Amino acid sequence: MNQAMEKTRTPEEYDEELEAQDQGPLSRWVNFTVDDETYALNVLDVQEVLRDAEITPIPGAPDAILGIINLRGNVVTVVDARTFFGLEEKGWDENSRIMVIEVASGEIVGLVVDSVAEVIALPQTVVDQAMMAVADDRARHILGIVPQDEKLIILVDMKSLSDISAT
Amino acid sequence: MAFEPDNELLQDFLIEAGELLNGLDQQLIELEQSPDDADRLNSVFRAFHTIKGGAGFLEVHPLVEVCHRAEDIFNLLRNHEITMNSRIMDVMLQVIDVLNDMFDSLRGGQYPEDVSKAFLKEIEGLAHQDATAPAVAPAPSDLTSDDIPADEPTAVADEDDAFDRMLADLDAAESEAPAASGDSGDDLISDDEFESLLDELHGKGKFQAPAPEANPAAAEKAAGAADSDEITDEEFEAVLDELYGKGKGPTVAATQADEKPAEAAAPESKPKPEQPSQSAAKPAAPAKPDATPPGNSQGNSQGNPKAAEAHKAPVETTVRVDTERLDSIMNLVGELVLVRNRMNTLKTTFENEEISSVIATLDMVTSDLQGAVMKTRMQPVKKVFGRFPRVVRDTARTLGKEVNLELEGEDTDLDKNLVEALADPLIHLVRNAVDHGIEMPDARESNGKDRAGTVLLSAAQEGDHIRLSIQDDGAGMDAEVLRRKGVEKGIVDPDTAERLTDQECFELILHPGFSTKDQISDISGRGVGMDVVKTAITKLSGTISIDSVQGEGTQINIKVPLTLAILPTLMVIVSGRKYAIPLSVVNEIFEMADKEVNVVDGQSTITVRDRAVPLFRMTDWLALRGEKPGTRCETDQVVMVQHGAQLMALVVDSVIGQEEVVIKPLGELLRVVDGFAGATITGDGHIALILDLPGMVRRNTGRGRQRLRSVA
Repeated sequence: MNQAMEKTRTPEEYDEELEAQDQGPLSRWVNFTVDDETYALNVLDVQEVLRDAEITPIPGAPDAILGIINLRGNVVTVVDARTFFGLEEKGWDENSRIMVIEVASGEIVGLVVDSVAEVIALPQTVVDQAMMAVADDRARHILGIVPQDEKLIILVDMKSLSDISAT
Repeated sequence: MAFEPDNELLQDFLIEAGELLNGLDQQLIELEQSPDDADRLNSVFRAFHTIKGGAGFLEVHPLVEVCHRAEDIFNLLRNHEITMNSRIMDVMLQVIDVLNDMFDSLRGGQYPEDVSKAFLKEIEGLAHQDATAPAVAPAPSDLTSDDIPADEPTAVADEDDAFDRMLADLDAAESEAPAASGDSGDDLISDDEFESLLDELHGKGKFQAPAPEANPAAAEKAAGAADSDEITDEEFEAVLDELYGKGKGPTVAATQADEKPAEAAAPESKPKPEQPSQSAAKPAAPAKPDATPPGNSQGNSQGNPKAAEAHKAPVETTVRVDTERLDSIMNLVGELVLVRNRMNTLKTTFENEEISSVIATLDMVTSDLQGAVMKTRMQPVKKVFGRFPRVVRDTARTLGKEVNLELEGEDTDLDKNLVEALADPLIHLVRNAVDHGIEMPDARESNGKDRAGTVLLSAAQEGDHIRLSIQDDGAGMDAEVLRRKGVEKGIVDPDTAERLTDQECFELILHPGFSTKDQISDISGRGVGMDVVKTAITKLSGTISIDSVQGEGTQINIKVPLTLAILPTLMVIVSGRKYAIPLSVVNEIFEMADKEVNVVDGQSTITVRDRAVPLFRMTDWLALRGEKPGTRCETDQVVMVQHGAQLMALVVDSVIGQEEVVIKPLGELLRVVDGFAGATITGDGHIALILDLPGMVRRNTGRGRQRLRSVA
């Protein structure tokens, strides 16, 4: 699974770098992109990232559900992040990845994203601030927005994926 | 010992005593048929006694009180002092119910509530049926033990046995309240009891070496502390020597030790030197748990009341295994089966004879292993059937009917999960048979039948599935009435109703909201039952069919697979994807090409042996978003499936063949998607969805036959 993490610097090295700058406790986030936007999931929520998997479609399933995959003998449901975020479908390309995450119900779900970039470390204070700024009920999966290297990173919480079938 | 819900001993007790309790139900009913069956009376007596012993040890007093009184009654019964009658039977069945409730609360971690004094009195009252008081105790008076809890002095007066009363009075007078332990008394110790005690000691001894070794020491200590008038240490030690020295066959020991049952009881006493005579006179059964030192060995000694049942039980050959462990073994075997399937697929690509032969061996061993593991999960249907005599008796009594229940094929083995899952549906069906099927005795007589109706419950293995049938010789069902009711209740439209065959009419009763009884009785007729039965059976990938002849009776047949873990399926290809159809619904497979297809009322039908069968294209049913509906092509094959009473022809691209698959449940996110029972990993590592036919039909032929693209 580690091969899928694209950058070679380990999260620990990041921590050291940032802690050297004396920014207090850190939390680590996995960066990924969907439709040119950069999102980040807490690293603790991500179990692994798959480069490739054969997705078996389910006739009659909700639109956002692409199908199921065989993850070492377990059947895992795969959700399309683009559809979930209300974007156009794009189809699979060489950068596409499946992030295997745990949702609120405890179920393991695969989330198809355009690409997975790197693991970044953010000072907890920055994250806390960002979380306070967002209080929109319609975007429950968005935790906050953090500026990073002239970009904005949207921190998300995919636990609410389990509501997908109820919508 | 205070009451601790998660006490290991308690759990053991619940399992063991729970089994005894289940057995009691059936034994009681059998006793009603043959009230003089001495063996059975003894075994019922022993069961109560064992439960009481365990409960006493765990200080579950309400349980002890009830068992104690029930045991008394059975003691009188087996000594022929009173005779079995229906009043005793009724009260005893109530006792079972009360005990079951107590067990339930114990399982739930609750200390059971006290039983009402009135009920206890009622049990005791049974003894006065034809009171022939004394001359009971065959044992020498000084060796008969009795112990009435001092905080329960009322119980004393109610003892039937005059001799007991005398002793008890003595005891009660002597004892200062605190001395009385929770263990309730025992009237007399008979050979049987003593033997069962010995059995327990020996059975356990073979199981767990430390327990018996610890035993004499503890018992000795207890005896020493007790130091009663009648029993000396030497005597006691002699008994123990007999028990452990030559005690290979309990009978040998029994005849010798017979005379001194009270000694064996001594270890039970919680040493209280200031009250020696009383503590020495404790009953035999509770002796067993206390005789071993506290700790795990107690659990082992305690956890074997079965030994009391198995009279001269040979070496114990069974092991108790947690079902969870079996489940995980089953899962692993399931994975192995998948690997085996995969190997089989790969075999052809190797073209190496050696590899082929190795794979062939693996194939065989895996199949054997699969069968062997499956067997470990098998239980005889008896487990479920055992409840029915009671159900039938109660139902028939309430309704004032006379019904005989016959059981057949009780030894048929079935997956444990299935046994449990089948219990409720079957109870419902049996009740229905008694309530709706069997007529009132007078009505039967005027129709020239026996006053008593018969319900036959049978089980048999047929290939890879089990057939259960419930047959009654009652009034049968009237297809016309059902047809009319079906239309009245809006379940079928009049046109359709006209075309239904008789059997299809019978199956209308499986629809939700269908009840032909105009009055709702306590027993059945709410119109929810049969629907629930059907759902439950379908969930087990089983089928249910009904056959009835008016005036002669009704037969309900249930077919369920032997096991739920591994599902035999037919692999088919639809739109280039693999799907698995449970083999249980598949009737036949044939080529599409040479059959005639007609369109009737907008529905394609295919004529098979002069019968028009509705035809459905699986490419339509299983089309993904944006996929075009399929068209007919030369290679199409038709799989005939049975959906309830109805045949359906499903057109698939091609049929691959039969494959045994392990069902992997679909995730929560997909619970809204109807029509799939799960997925499986096929021999080549791909995923195939397993079709759930009823769900599939519901989804695709629902109102207006709309294609439901997306459920969300």
